Amino acid sequence: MAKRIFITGIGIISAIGKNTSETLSNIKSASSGVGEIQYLQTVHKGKLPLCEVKYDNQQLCALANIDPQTRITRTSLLGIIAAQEAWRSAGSPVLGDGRTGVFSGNTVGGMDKTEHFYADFMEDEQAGDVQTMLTHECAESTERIADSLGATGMVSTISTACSSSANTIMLGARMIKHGLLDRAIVGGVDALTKFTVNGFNVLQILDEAYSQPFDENRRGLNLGEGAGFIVLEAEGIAKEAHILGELVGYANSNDAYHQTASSPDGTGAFLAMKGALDVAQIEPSQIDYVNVHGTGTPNNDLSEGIAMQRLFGKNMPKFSSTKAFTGHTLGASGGVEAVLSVLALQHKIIYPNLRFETPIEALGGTMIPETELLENQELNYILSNSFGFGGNTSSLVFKAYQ
Amino acid sequence: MEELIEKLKVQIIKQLNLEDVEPDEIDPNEMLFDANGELGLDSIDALELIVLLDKEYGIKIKNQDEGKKIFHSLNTMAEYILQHQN
Amino acid sequence: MKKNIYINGLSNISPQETFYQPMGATIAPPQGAFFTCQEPNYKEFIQKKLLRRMSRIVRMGLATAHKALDDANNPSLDAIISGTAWGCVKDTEKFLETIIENKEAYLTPTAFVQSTHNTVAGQIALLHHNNCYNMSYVQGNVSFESALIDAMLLFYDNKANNILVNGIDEQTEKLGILLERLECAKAGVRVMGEGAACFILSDQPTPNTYAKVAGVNMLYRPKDKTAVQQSIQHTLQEANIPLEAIDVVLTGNKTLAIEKELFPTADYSQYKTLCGEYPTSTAFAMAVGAQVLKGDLPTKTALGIHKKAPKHILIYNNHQDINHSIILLSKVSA
Repeated sequence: MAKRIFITGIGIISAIGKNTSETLSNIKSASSGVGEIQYLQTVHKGKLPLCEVKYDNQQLCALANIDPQTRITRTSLLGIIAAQEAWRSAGSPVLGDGRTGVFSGNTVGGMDKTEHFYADFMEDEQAGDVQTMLTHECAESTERIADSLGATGMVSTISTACSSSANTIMLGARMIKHGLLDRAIVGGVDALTKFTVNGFNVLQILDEAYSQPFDENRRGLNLGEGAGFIVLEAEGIAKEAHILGELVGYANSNDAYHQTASSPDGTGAFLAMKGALDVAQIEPSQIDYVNVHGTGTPNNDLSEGIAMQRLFGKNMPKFSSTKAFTGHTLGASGGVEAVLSVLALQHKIIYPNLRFETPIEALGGTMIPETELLENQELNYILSNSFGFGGNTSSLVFKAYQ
Repeated sequence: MEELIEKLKVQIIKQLNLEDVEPDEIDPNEMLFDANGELGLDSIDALELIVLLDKEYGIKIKNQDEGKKIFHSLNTMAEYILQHQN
Repeated sequence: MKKNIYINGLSNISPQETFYQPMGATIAPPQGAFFTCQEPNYKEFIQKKLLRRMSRIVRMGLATAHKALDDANNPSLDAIISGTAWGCVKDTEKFLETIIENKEAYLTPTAFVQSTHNTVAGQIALLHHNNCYNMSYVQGNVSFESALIDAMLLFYDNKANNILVNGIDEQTEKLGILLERLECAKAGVRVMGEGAACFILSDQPTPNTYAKVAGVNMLYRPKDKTAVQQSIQHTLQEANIPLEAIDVVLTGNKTLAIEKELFPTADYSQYKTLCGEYPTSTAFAMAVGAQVLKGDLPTKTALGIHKKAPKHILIYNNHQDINHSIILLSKVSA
């Protein structure tokens, strides 16, 4: 019989707070992190809203306990802050024994620094601080996180666009299941950059107003930044007092339809959700809440909704998109939403899908997300979806600890 | 109009990196986005064409559905440009 | 739980002539501080209208996928797993340059879409209409090893019979300038390279099987030399292969202290003299190593291997004492 995999720690930083307690209180008071651009230097300031982490890099250095003179990216800082919180909340287990893995999902690495350097480099190929490029790769932030924790087990980075960190959670679980690791710190991080903001903007999938996931009149997504990490520990290793929940299901598939668009029948999303339920050995009717990918783009929400209708039929569980709070944190979103899922299990709450008004007609007008915070919920199983460009689709199933 | 169409052909070939396509090979009435057609353009190409109109003609298209009608063929594209260019 | 994993098909685009045939007697030298791939005629594998928007790394990734699948007699794939450290450099540069040049206006969506690290794995799925497991690892010098370990887990879980795994990285002119400024690339000292090697791994051998992947391991910041040696020994023990059975070490290193102490009688080949230094160079080593184990003589000669019929090959690469990678290959009949 395979070992059970417990979640013993969580850590998060996003537009709605620098730790789990701030995150929770902002969600409870329905205060979204979306707003006018304050920190990113871009021509879109004042035009496109973003969900920025409300600290500049110097303040983040203070939060991460790092000398502000250090050459470090915003990506690494956000990752270190969330991973450290996750590790502390797991009771600061020993990490230097080579049996702890650190897996992080990330899409643009140190692009926040690279794009500054590159402007000098384009003027003159010998100009600019070339050492900046050493912080460019996605793996760099993962290694900084591992080093900040003193972890010496397997360290790896996954980049499957917006499903990146859901996939690291899956990797950690599989490594533990096969006895290759006892413990893994898994999740992901992404910082806002001109590169991503302009990329999504030119694809015309950004909302110039505040996003409305799963609404008939949705116009697009609001980009966000942040990091979310959870600590997975094997049964027998995890200390009872720290167990927050259990990871019971996970699956990954590919939509194989289009580079950026989701298929009209939601094939990839359906396969991921179905696969995760199969690994968990549960029926769709046992899912109590779905934290949907729900970006707020016309295409994603329709395709995901169709896939959910295929899976759940008439018995649609309660669902909501928390991206109306955090924005779409890209490579971090699977980690951020895993933390939110565990918090939901812990506090028996279901999150509101902010700004929802009208159900999507093409989904029969019956798919209505939760719009108020629900408390005292009997939550046993939560399904969390993360889908990305390149057709990457992943789903995770979290279970309340019993 | 004809002059504009000839100019558009060259611009489209460049913008979409249509290697091996000569301007003369594009029929102004041909559907640009027919999956089985000669060019077989897709939704990412449509976004490229939106950028082209903005960059070369100062015309902004915010709605991709609107784009679909405008980019039906070279003729419809040229007509739209003539109507909207100031 | 443990299973035999076979390499049933492979394809390799490298600075040497490795794509259409095994490496020959003529060895291509680097140009200054760089090695550049000898690329095939992509039109043989990819439709013209798709080719137009693909950068070199995507082309190399797709062509090797096509050829490796063909080589393995086109089995249906249960997973596609990529390893790439640098990712789609060319399209990233292109998008970044336009952002800066045009002050965030008139950008090209194609470059952005193709700049993501999962472009190659996603495109393989798209072109082969494959809805299966799809993953992209971007862990510097152990990106390819991460992909291999993931594949092993899928086999252990009985989730797959055939898995495509690749290791791909591209050089660009701009990247070259940066690598020279960082003193990573220096003619005569360190030659930087690039390449794309693709493998079809399977839990069952076929008449085309090249070799067995008998073990994979990666280390992060090991304490000392002993920790690395223990890890290599552990990898061998798990595969029931004694130290003295290693015939050949394909090493990515310049100084061979760690490996020479363990394997004093093995043949050594410093494979980077053929492909250059790049993060997924161990994928090149695995391709040529597998060809040698299948009895390919020209490849054996090109690598400077003297042992008559090698049975076990160890690939070992140490990147700046941060990431160590260990891959163990065995002859199928062994």
